[in-house]
Amino acid sequence: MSFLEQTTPTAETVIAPDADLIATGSLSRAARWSQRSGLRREIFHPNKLMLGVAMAVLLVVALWAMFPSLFTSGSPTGIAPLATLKAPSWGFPMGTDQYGRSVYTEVVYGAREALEIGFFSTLIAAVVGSAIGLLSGYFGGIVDLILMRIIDMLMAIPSLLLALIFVAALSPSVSNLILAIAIASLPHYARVLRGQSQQVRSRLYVDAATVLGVPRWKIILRHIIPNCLAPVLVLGAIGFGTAIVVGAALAFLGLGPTSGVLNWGALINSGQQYVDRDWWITTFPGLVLTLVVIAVNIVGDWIRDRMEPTSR
Amino acid sequence: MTTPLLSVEHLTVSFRAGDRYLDLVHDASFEVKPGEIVALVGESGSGKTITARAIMGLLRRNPRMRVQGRISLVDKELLGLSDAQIRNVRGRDIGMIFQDPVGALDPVMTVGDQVREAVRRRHKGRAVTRKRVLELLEQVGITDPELRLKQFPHEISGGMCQRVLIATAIAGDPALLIADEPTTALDVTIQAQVLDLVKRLRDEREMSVLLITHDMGVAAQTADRILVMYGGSLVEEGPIEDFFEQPYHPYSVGLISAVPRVDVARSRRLPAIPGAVPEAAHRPGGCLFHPRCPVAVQSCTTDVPPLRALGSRRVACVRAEDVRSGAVQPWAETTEAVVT
Repeated sequence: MSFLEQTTPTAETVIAPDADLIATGSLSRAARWSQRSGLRREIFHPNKLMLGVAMAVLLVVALWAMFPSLFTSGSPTGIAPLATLKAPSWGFPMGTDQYGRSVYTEVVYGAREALEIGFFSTLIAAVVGSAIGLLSGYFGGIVDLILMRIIDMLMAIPSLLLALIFVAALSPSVSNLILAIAIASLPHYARVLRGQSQQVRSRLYVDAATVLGVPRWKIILRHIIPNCLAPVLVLGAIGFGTAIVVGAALAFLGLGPTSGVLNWGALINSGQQYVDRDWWITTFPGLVLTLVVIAVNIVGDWIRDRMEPTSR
Repeated sequence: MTTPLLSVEHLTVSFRAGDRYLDLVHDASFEVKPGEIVALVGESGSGKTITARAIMGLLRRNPRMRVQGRISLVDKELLGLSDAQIRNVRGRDIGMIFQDPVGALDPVMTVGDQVREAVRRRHKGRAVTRKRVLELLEQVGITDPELRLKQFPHEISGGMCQRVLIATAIAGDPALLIADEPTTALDVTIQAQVLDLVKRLRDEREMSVLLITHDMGVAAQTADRILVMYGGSLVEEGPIEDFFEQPYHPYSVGLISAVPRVDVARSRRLPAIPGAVPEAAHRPGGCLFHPRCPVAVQSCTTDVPPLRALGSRRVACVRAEDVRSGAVQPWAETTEAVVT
């Protein structure tokens, strides 16, 4: 029993460490900044500025995903044998790849899949993982024992490797990629929600509803779940960034969809063999991917800071 | 002689610790009559709250708790009911309010929704429910109920929260209200208001109240009858006036004399009962109170005194007659030397 309790992580420990690094880096600057005063501080406060930039980055990427043709006139799949491996220029801001396609166009068109993978895998992981954690924490006993052993098994394998195994076992397609990432990341939600629901279950307002004769399923629905949601939102916000990276990593390893628009990871992979001379094919998609993930983490951090006082 | 509303017989609640059971409540028997306010008093850890939870069926889900004995509400035997049946008792036959009113309200739900949840158990239909909710809030003395409906528990005061909680508890028109330290978390003026409210509701609805408290003042002010619990066992029971006139059990005497009084000279040192309530795992043999008792005799260390009738009361002490006649005066100044 005791090791069960020990292995239950708190909301803090699950949150990605790189997110914390970013936050502390800007904090020291914020400390210096706060010694100044006036209107300038309000508007250009480093933390707020970072958050603004991060949100702007996400907005641009979201727009790319929704209306790619507004941002580029080229086609992400058309081959142009005369324009292969061109260096970045006004016409091709990120250069062209070995087939003459504009890397910029490919990045813009690739945004949809990257966000789709991030969003849906996070959604599935959050819903399923939370449900498992909730059942486990609320009912306890044998239900808890069985569910948590399954979660332990999933957690014993690194999530990237786990996702890789799943995609390899199924076939490489976007939906399988989403499913694999969701399965690989749901243990986090299950763990946190288990702890949370155990806590909420013993709150006085649950007893108060019980003594009113409110049925158990209604108590779970109306009192337990709403009071457990805050950490899910935080985990989801940060898990979203991780899911995008894992999606790109799997595609890089050749486990993404094999036809249609190139995934960012696949794009980086395709430029790999030219990286010594034609560096732009790998660098720009990599840079965009990095920026998006940092932006997601900054926004996730902000959400966590806003949730913390109410979730405690 | 009216038939009792609630009758608890030989209630024993035990907690499984390893391979043995520890009695948190031991062989407690008492009754609550219709329209009566009964105070259940005792120190922390004496088993008051566990008794209340056992009556309410809140211990059923805990696999480490064992509840034995009989708890009957008029003709229903509560311990034998199924989960669905006990759910019908809760809220309709018995209502309950708690020590921490703020914690007993869901922080993410508005006051209106929480009262509505209670009202829905009886009334259906949006308009009827709304009318009933406002009616209840008014009845428990909440000003501006229309506004309160939309507020969250953190936006209103603790006293207000307790009123809301009372409103939810009486929504189902229960015959018995269990109030578990309802005023402990509130300041004195609000405390008086809430107690008045409880008394008023009793008068208006002919509702019985089981008032759990550690505050002798609250018990004296509100109750008709008192039950004193020590270490999980009942040690004295009687009508409130008689009890405060002259308690028979040395523990009760100690509890009352530990309350500061304005009509006694300040120079007198306030007597305190030395030591603490023994934990369930380390209870002494014989009378549970003997290690702390100033008038204990040899037999107290070996024989458990039964709860027996003495005049209008019941008391579990071999020296009750001596206390009654004034032959021994526990906690009088002279006994201070006895305490070591």
